[in-house]
Amino acid sequence: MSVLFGILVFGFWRYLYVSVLSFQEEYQLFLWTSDYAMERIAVPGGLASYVGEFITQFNHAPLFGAIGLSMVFVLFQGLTWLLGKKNGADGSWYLLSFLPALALWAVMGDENVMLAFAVSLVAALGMMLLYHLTDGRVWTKWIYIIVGGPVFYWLFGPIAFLLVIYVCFHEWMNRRKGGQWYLFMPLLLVVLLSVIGSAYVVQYPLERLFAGLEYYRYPVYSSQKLVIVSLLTVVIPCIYAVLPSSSKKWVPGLVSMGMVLLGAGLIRMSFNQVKYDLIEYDFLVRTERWSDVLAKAKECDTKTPMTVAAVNLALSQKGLLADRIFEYYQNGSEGLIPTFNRDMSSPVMTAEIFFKMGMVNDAHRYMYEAQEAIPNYRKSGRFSKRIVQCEIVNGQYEVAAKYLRMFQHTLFYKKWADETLELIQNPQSLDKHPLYGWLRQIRFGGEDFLFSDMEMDQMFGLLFVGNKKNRMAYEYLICYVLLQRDLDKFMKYYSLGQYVGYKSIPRAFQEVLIGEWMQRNTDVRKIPYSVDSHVLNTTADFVRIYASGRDRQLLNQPPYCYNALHYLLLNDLGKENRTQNELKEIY
Amino acid sequence: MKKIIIAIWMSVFVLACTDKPQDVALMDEMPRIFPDYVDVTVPVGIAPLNFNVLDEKGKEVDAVDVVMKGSVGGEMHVNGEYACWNEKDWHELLEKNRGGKLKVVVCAKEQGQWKQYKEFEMHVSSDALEAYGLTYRRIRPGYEVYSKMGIYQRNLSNFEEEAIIENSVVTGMCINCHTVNRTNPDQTTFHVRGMHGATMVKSDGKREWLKAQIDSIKGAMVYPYWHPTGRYCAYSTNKTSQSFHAVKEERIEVFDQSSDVFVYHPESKAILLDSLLMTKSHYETYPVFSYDGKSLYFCSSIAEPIPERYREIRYNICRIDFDAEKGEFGNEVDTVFNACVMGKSATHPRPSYDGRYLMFTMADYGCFPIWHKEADNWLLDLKTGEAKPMDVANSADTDSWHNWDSGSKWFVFTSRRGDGLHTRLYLASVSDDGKVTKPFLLPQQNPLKYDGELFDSYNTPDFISKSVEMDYRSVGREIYSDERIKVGVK
Repeated sequence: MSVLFGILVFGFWRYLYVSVLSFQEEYQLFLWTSDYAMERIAVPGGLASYVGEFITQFNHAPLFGAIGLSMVFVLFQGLTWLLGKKNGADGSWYLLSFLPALALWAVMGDENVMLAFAVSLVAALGMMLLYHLTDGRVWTKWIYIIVGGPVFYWLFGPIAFLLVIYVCFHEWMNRRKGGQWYLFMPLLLVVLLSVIGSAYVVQYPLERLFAGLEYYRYPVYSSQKLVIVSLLTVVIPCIYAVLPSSSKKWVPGLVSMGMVLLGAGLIRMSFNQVKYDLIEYDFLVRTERWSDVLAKAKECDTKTPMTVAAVNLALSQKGLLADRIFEYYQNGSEGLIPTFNRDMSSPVMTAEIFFKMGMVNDAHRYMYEAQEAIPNYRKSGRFSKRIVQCEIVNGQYEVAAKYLRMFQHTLFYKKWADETLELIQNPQSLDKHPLYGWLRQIRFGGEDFLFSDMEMDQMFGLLFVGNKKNRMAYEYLICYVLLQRDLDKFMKYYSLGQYVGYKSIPRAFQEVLIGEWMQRNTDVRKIPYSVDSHVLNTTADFVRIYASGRDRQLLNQPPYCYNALHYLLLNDLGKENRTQNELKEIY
Repeated sequence: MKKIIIAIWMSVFVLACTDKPQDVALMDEMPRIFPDYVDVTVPVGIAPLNFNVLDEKGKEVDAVDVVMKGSVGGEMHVNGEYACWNEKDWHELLEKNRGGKLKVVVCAKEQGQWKQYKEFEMHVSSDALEAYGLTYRRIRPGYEVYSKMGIYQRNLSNFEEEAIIENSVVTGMCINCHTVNRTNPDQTTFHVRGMHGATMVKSDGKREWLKAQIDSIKGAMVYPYWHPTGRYCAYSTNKTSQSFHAVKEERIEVFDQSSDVFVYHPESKAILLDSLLMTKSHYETYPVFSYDGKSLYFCSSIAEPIPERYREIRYNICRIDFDAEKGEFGNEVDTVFNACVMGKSATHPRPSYDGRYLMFTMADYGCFPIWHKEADNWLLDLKTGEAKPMDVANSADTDSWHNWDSGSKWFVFTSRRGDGLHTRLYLASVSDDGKVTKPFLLPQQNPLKYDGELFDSYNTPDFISKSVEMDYRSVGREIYSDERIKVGVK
């Protein structure tokens, strides 16, 4: 049964939520150095964090990451059952031992619950099992309390309070065999003093020390979900001691099955689809699976700036942006370049866009900001790697080398770091490098200016004028003004497209040109642009239906709803803004 | 605990490394050492100047064998992975050779071959360093968002660094501009930014938390400097913004859209304002009192429109009389140093405590030279009025924020000369005849490792005459409490 459970956990993370593995790995950078270990262990709960990060680094190769996670869950369940058996569990209640693990699984639907929390629970169960070894020897109990309590707290955090509950329970149950129920009191005192004492060693508020520094990514003082799972971890093994060994074997089976199903339901509920869509888009962009981004966008509506930006970036990378941008949901210029927010996620997408377009300084800035915004002060392998690439493009080899030497202490970035360190030994070769050479060609050159998010179109224009091979800059320029419904600027900038080398005018631009022409001319056949007859007919039909005021609902259906004019004339910006506000929390 | 483990490792390491030079090849070149301590001048009492030796490719050599001899007497020998001096022996050698020289012979084992390089010298200054240590902020050189940061103190006679306060004490807080009075940490001030913003002023052993925004000036207290008597503290109030360069050579541009100067009087919890320090036509900032407290220096620039003409903002250093008894300013402002006529901008003035010099940072434009690669430190002789760049101490990269030791012989400053981004602290001295000595990087136990693994920058360094005692737990509680003193106008 445990093996089956392990396979389920493995399959869940490896196949259904592989993007979450990537997400977790993205917000840490595990270094194989003694200093890194010391840095972790220097705070209460640090060993749990270290072990959690050690396992999480394998998420870079999802197969191993999923194996690591499933091992934690199987161990957790196994120890729960083992402890239950120590308390006289009847085999018919075996299924119940899955409940804490299922609850943990559900709580990890919150992507900010750290693996350190799971590791701490496993360690707590191990420590509870250890307590059974002290039975019959009072002095070992005192060693357990006086030494074990503080040490366990320091290594695994305030989950140590579970030991107090367990000691109390265990001693009470054994009171007729010499159990001393009051022993929980010195242990409680020791753990309490340890928490309070740690405030004199590390610079964190007491509330945070009581809540645990390493269990949750954000510095929140309490999370009821974590408390419930923690309590289940200690209560379920204890409950085994009082559960009846029913003559009707199906009774415990049924009860257990019901609870397990409840746990499974909780897991289903705890994975917020909208949030995980964001995470998946981030994963697909990270791995440059552009076709999958578009396929996902066709599957489900994407309406947050970050996801719309991912779709537009994918279109751009596939060379389809100027043709098919309006086949996908658009929410204004935000969907091209999302506004900067001081959080660890949203700047990442914008940084990727800037980087691919050649706005290297801004890509660097957005990645740096995202990294600094990681609330538990961790650094990110993905972000740091991009930062290094920006430094290399800008010729900051000393800074790049410093990061690369750090990357040499990782498991999964080491090869890249070794190669890149060698590469920057010979800076001349970088000009011919497919990535660095290209970015050096297309980045801003000439006279310096200051970034302005109010003048994005001008910056895109400067970028394109600087290097007319930069098709992405041109398309972002034109799409940016179109998404702002600024037709004057569209007409002003559009002609720059002659330098891009299109075989024909991109479809979305054709639609706008036709619409613009029809506004001023009655004979569409005289249109001076080289437009496709199918696009001409469809757009002309669109204009006629729109102008007639009849059957406008037709315009909300294909092919008209994919026409640029649909966005320009019919999209309700107010509604978009409302949607954005509603989604601000997750964005 | 960390230190104990490091010490054990070091002992094991030292015992393990007993690789003695054999078949030594004599080289006709200087050793490549990190940090560059060749010909530096050091004060007695400074922590050992440990250094690493690098090969031609910039990689650390397999082993070193270094002998250091004093010109007056004494000798030290070290053999290991890098030159790591015994603290006690180092201090004795320096004391013995005060005013003399230390001759250093480096042997390095590179790819199995021992090489002996040309001897180099370090100079031991006869000028004493009076400070116990340094305080500074450590923060990643980022943009707007900050991760872990803190204000730290470092004992200058050894390698001990201790956090005075870190921003983990209060979630989301930023701390900056920790300023003590003439190196005395009994009087100190710093700012807290964020949800629980405030300005902390510690005087007479009591901490006071002033409202972050002062109603009467509609702004926050920024860039502090204590009056020598401790009865006043000058601040500027700045409406600061930052923007970002698009072209590769530059990163960040910080500019003030308005700024004024005022003086806070802790006793009455009121500020002293003067129209000459709050003009609309000029930006006034970086106030500092003269050594005798009778003048207030500050920087002043014509208030060009921002950000359109940010490259035209250039600051001069000005002075106004200050009467500490009456708490009054003089009636006129003098220009002490006119940087504008040179097409430059002079900021961060710091008078030496003996009244002889005024050190400042010169850049092409703007009020925040920390991000300007061309920024250099200058020295203005207040007796002669002559100002010149401190070429020996300056570098091709940013050299900026500086402060004086209480003896006014030694100064500390920040520089990006290492890798071009992460600022590090350097110390140098000025002799009686105005000669500046070659600066040395703040000593570290294992400099190459430390520098290579530290991604923080050092900000706003200052000397301290003794260890800073601050109970961060109660400071944290006070910050959380949001109990703030409202500052009035005197």
